[in-house]
Amino acid sequence: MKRTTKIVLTVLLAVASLQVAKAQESGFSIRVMSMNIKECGRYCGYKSAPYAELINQYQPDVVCLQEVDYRTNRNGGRDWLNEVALATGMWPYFSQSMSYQGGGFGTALLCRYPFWGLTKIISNITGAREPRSTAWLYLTLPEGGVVRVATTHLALESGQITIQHLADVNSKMFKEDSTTPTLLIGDFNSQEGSDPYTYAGNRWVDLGKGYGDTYPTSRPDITYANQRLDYVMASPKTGWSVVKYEILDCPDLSDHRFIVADLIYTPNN
Amino acid sequence: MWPMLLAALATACGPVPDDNGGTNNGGGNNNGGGENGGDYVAPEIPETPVSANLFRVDYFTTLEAEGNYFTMRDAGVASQFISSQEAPRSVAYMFDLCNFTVGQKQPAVQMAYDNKAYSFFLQTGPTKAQTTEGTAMVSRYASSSIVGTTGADGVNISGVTFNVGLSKSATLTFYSARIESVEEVEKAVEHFGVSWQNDGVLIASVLADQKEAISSWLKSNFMGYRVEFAESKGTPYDVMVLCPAMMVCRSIEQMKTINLPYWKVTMEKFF
Repeated sequence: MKRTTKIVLTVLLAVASLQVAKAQESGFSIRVMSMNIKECGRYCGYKSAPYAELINQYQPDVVCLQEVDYRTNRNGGRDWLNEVALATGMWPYFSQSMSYQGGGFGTALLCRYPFWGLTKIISNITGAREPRSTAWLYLTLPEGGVVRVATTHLALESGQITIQHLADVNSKMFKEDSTTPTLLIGDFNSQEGSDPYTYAGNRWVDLGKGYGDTYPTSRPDITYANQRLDYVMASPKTGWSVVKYEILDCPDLSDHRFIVADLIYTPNN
Repeated sequence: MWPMLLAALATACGPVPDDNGGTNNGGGNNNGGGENGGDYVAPEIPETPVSANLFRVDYFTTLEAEGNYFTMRDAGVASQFISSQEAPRSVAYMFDLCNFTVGQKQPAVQMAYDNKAYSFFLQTGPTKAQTTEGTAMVSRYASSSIVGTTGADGVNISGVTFNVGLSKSATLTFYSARIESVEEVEKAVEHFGVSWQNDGVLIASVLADQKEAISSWLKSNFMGYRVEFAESKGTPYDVMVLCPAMMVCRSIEQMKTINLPYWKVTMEKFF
């Protein structure tokens, strides 16, 4: 019985892969945002409205969020993500990394269109101080084209730990699907040129190279040197065009600058 | 609320005992109907349910051909219904034709917000620039997995997976669809046949005059499943519940809360 099930499963997966491949034949354009929101809005009293206003201003197709609280003590028990979802008309997914302060803490996705597939993973990397989640969704865009978009917040304890975390993410994402055009977006906690950044280049192309640093915002209380920590990475490495790549300095909302990117994917480019 | 008669019309199965008195998938042919060309019949079910293994889904639907469920109805009533429900609570609340309109407040997200729950959207039509057809879902269970189709072959079905606490922890995936032809079922089985033989439960609105043809096709071409239909008089669609043979749909009751029609689907999982 088990053997038969395995055979059927294999055939079904092959059929599904062919269908995904067929759907990929059409290219697409997409606007994505990356937002590390610093302890879910610590700098603005944990309010959701300023973030919703910003998202509404840019009308992205997918928002990849990091440092999202779900009903924690520090944010007054508010369901921040659903508040933003209600204010923007986007569909939310909260990807909890761990329980925190009576609620949850993790990454999140907001999508302008329905998504028909989703996977959440939690990486427990030896030496990392906390578990970290990565979540990805699949959507079929209205003009055609299928894309997978992931939000992540990589571990920061050392370059080696960050690499191990990214290796875990890569392994699980590409084991699931190695053909669908994919964006991995978020806070990599790694500067351009670092070992984790170089490692990322094995599987991903950095679409934001040359567009500027993402950390810190122009807050007077942060004195770190400017650096790039937040990325829009893409796979496959070819076929992507950057129409616009904007770095937003919102010092009242985060210590990280946000990214808005307009991208076009053309297969077999 | 006014519970009405259980309207389960057809099951795909005449009883066939299995050697262990439980259930099985009926032999080695998982996807091809009965062996030697015979129709598939699901194994017999125990007469008395094990209460710890019962679970429930509330399926809110008008069973009409079109229209948004909440156009003429107050999502606040549904939200109140969810919050006032006492144990055992439903695993999921599904809202057929609770279509997704870009940029508009989604009722299911509001319900999730009101009830400290999670919202999901099961796309049942192609992605449109403005409004996409689908079934919204609210659940107190978090999920780490949604599976679905790209829509490339004209079939848009997706399902949300939960780990549900019964007498043992059970992984269950709840799918939704609007089915108008046997051909759609054929394609859907290509995508999800394995799941529907293992952990998947499809709760769908099915065009009433297609029920017999669907039952017949399933009997001849699929195995390891059970299917039940509940008839609604005067509507073009009926309710269809398809699940693995290791589960059974114990009842489908037509209900109403204020002006929200829904179907209470009670199921049992066998271990």
